[in-house]
Amino acid sequence: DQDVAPVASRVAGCVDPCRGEAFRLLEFASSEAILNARQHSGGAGFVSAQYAPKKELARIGVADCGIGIRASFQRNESPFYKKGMTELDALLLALKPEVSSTTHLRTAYGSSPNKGVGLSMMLNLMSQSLGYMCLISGEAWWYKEGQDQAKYGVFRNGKRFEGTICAIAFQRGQIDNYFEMLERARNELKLKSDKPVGNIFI
Amino acid sequence: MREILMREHFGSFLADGDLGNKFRFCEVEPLFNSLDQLVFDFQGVTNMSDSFANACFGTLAEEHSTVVLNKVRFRNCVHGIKQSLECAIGAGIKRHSQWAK
Repeated sequence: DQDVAPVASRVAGCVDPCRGEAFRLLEFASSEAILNARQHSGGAGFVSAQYAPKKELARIGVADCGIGIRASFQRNESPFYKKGMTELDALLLALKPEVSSTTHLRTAYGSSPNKGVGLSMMLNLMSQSLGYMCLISGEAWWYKEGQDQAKYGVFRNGKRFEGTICAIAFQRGQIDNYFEMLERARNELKLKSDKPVGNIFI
Repeated sequence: MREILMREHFGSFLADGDLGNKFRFCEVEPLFNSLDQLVFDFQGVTNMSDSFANACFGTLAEEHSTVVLNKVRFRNCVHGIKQSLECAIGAGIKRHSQWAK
């Protein structure tokens, strides 16, 4: 239950010790992946980070030995859950913007903190940096490289991972302006409000 | 008027949506209801996750709709944090109008 921020900052520091644009992007992405594991898995989580200098690839991985994505939709009685939903259906659903298994829940502090944007933002940022992203939950897997079409399926012969893995890699050389990348992602995912919020900054 | 220094509460990276939600509920809401204006100072904050922005400020807007725009101000935000706040608050107001229908 520790604060996500120091863990995410340490992960980002592994791959960009100079604390440049890549550092902030990796802080953002790893914090969202760690939060997903903590909020939805119901199990212990593990985080790893690695930088491959020749390919300029910054890789982060978050794995948990929890209940998996489909069971999270089911257990939380999410309105997105449908009877007969496969683990692959659930995984593909979780990638959509503004979908989360807990958005509808009330917590001790009122509304759910989850709005279901973390995974889709990570996916968009990965795509912009021409990296790759891989998700595994139960028998389902999903993989996308850069801006190519995603590939997905189920493991053969009953093989499965009990929990969820989110592995994501960014090409560090492609991350020239983190905040511009964020803005592009929000525009593409239509997360920005049509109406301006006015002058709230002083 | 009350000013809240975000770095003192969360450090330079505002990441944890659960902490953002708890902070909103326990510390921001009581002040919001009793004061004319609340100023959040982002001096020294270099990064913020969407989870934090949505849980803290998006949900505040979801609860209070456009009243937030009159009562809340943000100071010393870097460009990217401004974008994130605008997005979270805009989405919160939109959610409020959807469930108010």
